[in-house]
Amino acid sequence: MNELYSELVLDLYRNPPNRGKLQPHNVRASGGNPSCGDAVTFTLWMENGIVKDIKFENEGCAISTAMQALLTEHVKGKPVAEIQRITEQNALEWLGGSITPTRQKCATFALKILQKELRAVEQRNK
Amino acid sequence: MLRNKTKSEISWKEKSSMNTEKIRKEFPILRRKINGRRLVYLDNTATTQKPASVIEAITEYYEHHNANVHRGIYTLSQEASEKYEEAHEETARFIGAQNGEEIVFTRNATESLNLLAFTLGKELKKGDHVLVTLLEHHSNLVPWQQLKEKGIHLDIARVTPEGLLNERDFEEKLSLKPKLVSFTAASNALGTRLPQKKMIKAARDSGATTIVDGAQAVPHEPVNVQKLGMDFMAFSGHKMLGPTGIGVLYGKKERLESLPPFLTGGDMIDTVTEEKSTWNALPWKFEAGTPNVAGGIGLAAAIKYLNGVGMEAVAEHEQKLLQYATNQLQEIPGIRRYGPSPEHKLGIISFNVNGIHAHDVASVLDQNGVQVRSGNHCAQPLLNALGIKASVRASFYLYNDRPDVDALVDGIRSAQKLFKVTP
Repeated sequence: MNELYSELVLDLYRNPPNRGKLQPHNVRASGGNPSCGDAVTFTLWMENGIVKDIKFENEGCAISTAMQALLTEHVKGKPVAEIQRITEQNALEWLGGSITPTRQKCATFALKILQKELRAVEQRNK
Repeated sequence: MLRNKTKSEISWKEKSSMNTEKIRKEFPILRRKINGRRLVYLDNTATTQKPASVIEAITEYYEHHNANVHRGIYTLSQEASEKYEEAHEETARFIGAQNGEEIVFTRNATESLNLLAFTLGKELKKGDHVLVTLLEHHSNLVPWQQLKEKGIHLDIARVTPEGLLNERDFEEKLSLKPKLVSFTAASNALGTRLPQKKMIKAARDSGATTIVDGAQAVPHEPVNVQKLGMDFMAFSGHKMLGPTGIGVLYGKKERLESLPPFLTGGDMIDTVTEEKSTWNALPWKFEAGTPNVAGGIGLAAAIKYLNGVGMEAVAEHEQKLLQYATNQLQEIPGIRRYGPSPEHKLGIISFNVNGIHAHDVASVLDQNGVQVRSGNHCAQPLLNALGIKASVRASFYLYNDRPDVDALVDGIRSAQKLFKVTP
């Protein structure tokens, strides 16, 4: 049993749910982790402050891909306020909590990118 | 230099390779385990491990001689000053400089290059050209980019698809008559060695000041600055068995003399009035404030250690290990290697494993005790040109041996098994 690469992580990496570009979409969140070259783009359909649907396209390692897939599963159908309350610690726990410190940024950068864009959307709609 | 040459000639003829087993025992850290496995340290491009003699030299200095240098007339200050000055002389002999006046101690190669960009940059005028190559570490690119604010043109010589310098492009860009030509002796990302001597001569013939980033070359092969003829060279102590926080700027005496100072303050001055100051003699003019005395002494101990082994022997050992590693990696299906063939490289292998991200390869290798770098190796423009975002990099030094390479190979195979990408 590999601590870092659990069956969950490896399964999500090999067959990630919600991968692709959502068409049509009305929100797009994109960014990366320049220190390693990882990049992600989320495409969302939002209605009345709720994420109705979401997909992601990415280039990255197993940890970041698994996390991005889990993130899309977790936020689908949720209101923005609830998504903003997700902490890095919550996200690491989804993966089983055995992510070594040097790899935590791989796991958490996508959450920040999504939350930042959702904040920007809220500002625009105010 | 003569003594050093004789020793390495003996090792070349009689043993044909170094006594790696003996060398390994002299590095305390190599006794430790990582994740229950033998430590296999293959990130020597980033920094190197330290032999006991270096660690002891630093401890000995702090336990017996610690004082500020060039300030007190008391015994301790005199001893510290002598040791620190001797460290400059030792470094000068190691790279074939005239003497310690041509050796400025900095924090690292990055600081040495920034010192040059700041001081030489003052002499440049709007419209002047500076030429570098695409094989540079960010530290020999970003400082020159800063000069663009002054209206300086920064030209970048391209690379061939296999990661060698495109020499024709270099020559074409030389015809733009750059005032400064600054290039790395070897790429930290791919290991590619550049034709230093030829490039220096061509640049000098076109009237340019020449700067070599020797951070990867000086630790791994014999370097003689007078034979090569560059005006300046930068390198780091920690990449050649020395401590962190000590770097070197070599400069021809007349060039260093004509440069304005970089940092100003204590020790770098001669006389100071309320209005103005005059500068201290070389190399102290460029060493403002209390310097890294222990670092300089540690670097001198590292140089003594390398001289004891012989730089020709170090280079030969690494080339053999690189050949062996290249052959071993060729046996594994699904590996993409970057950079030229071993004879054009230092002991660096940059690669990716099909179907596994570089970070994941590095994590699985770490679980096997193998320490390698993954990422863009502070050379983003080069990796972009090669069309990759990240790679795994294994780099060798004198204490690495065949079992280290075998552990790397085993680790790659277990990553392929874990990720189920074995063909």
